[in-house]
Order: sequence, then C-alpha cells, then structure tokens
Amino acid sequence: MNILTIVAITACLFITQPVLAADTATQSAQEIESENLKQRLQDVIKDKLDSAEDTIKNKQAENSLVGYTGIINKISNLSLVVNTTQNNLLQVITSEDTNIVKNGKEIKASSLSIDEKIIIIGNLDTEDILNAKRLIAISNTPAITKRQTVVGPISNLDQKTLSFSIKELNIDIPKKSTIDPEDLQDNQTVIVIIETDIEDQTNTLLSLQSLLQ
Amino acid sequence: MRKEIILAIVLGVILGVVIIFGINLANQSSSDTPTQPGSQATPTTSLTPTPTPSLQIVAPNNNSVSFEDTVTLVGKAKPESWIAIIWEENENIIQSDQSGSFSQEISLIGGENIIQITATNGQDYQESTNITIIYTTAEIQ
Repeated sequence: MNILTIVAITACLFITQPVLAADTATQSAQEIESENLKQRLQDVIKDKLDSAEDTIKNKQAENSLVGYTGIINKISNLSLVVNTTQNNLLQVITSEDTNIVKNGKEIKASSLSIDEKIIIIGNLDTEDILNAKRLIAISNTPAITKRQTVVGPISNLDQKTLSFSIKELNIDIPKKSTIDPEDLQDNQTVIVIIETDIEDQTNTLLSLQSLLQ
Repeated sequence: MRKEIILAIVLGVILGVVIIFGINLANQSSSDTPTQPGSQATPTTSLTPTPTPSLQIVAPNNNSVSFEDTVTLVGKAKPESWIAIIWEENENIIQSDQSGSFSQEISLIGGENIIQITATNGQDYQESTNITIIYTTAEIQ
C-alpha cells in the first residue's frame, strides 16, 4: 500500500512537471519583460530628472548672479578695486573666462584704466569680493538732470507763473502738465516728483499727488 | 474544586483592577508631559505685537541681474501710504493697499537701472530706498 502511494505521487509529479516547467518559463519571460519595462521607465524618469536638474541649476546660476556699477579705484593683475555707486569698495576678480567689453568690442583686463566706470556681472564670493563673469566699460558722463521726490505743504502758489514752493524749493508746473494749478492751494500737503536741471538748478514738476487738505 | 475556581476568579478580578489602574496612571502621566518639539501641537496665539511694516522691497533684489526688459517691483510699506517710484524711463505715484503691499511694472534700460522708492503718509512717516538692477541681454556663462 505504501509503495503504491509513493509510486502514485511520483507519477503525479512526473506528469505535472512539464506543465509546471512551462508555467515557470512563462513566469520568467513575464518577469524579464516586466524588468525591461521597469528599466525603461527608470531610464525615462532619470532623463527627465537630469533635464529638470539642469534647468534648476541654470536658473539658480542666473539667480545667483549679481550686478554692480562703479568706478575703478585700483588695478592689480587680474584684480580690480571698484568704488560702487552705493559707496562700497568691491574687490573684483577677473579670470581668462571673464568677458570684458568696451565700446562693443572684447578687450583684455589690462586695457582697463583707473577712474573708468564699469558694470560688473558675476557671483559674490564674499560680501565684498566678486568673481566677474562679464565686465562692461561704460561712459562716465555726468547727468544733466536728476529726479527726486519731495513731500510737504505747498506755499507761494502762483497761478500766473505756474509755480509753487515746497520746503523752499521753487517748482515750475510745465504748461503741458496734466496737473491743473487751480486744483492746488497753499498749505495743501502733496507728494511730488520733480526734475532738477543740475546746471541752472530749476525744478520742473513731473508728478503730483495730494495727500492731506 | 469549587474553592479553587472562586480563588481563580478573585485573583483574575484583582489582576484586572491592577491593569486598569496602571493604564489610567500611564494615560494621566502622558497628558501631563509637555509637548516635545517636532510633535503635533495646537497653535498658540502670540501676544507679541507685530512691528509696523516699514518700507521693504520684496522683489527684485538689490544688485540683481535681469535678462528681461521689465520687472515687477513688489514692496511693502505702511498701509495706504503713498509711494513715489522713479525709474530710468518714467516715474509714478501709487498707493499701498490696506496690508501695505504695492507693486509697479518697471521698464528697464540696458545696463544700470537705479530705482528710487519713497513712501509717505504726508504726516509722520517718510522712508526712502534705492535699488539697482542690471539689465543685460548677453549670455553669461
């Protein structure tokens, strides 16, 4: 009886083996296909991630760029000391890769001179050391006019000469101005933007807003 | 036999009471423990008075580089104050909103752009600041 059982089990196993083998083969083929698909997906995702990473890096590099304007104070080798328009001394480090431009032409750092006005674009190493990537020499012609904001009460309003004063500044209202002088009155507090001619010190009204009556 | 059953029941009840007491004690002590950092906590209202916002330029950053010919100047000043903005090509006077926020589209010229911003309420508040932006179309490597 026992021998018969063993024989029966062996027979069963023997008969079912090809089916099991076929199943195993199908399973492994599916596994390979699934593995390939997984690999392809991983590759696509990696490509997309790499591309996104590059975009972010480029954007970060652009965002980390700073720009200053100033007058060259000192030149030594590849380094310049620049007095910025914000009255800070900035050490500017140039390299062979720095793009230096004057009058639209590329020049060497040695062609720059003291008192020349420049725009520097680069990355800050520390608060006062800038690694220049682009440097442009610009003309240093003084401005003819300057604009400023003045706040205060109107005085000496003169409808005939179209002028008034704020804080002892005499301001002319241009004839073509959209501001009607009749809307103004003495002691009226206003905020104005004026343009001052540096040579003759005349002030012309550009913009006005009444604040308080 | 019956005596043993009664003893077992009594012992079980005592054990049960001890376990319940233990659980209650553990719950009580955990609720008394102060909240650890990182764990969820109910938000508490700060009683520190918020300082009145002064003139701040949120964007763009001072000494930033723009590759576009316009930028949107975004800032914060005292609520409903008047803001005079002067830039290379134009100027404007605007008013900040009730939260003090203001914004102005600024056109840029090639190179250096100095933007002057003055905020005032015409009475006791006046502040000014300048920011510089460099506009370039050159590719910076």
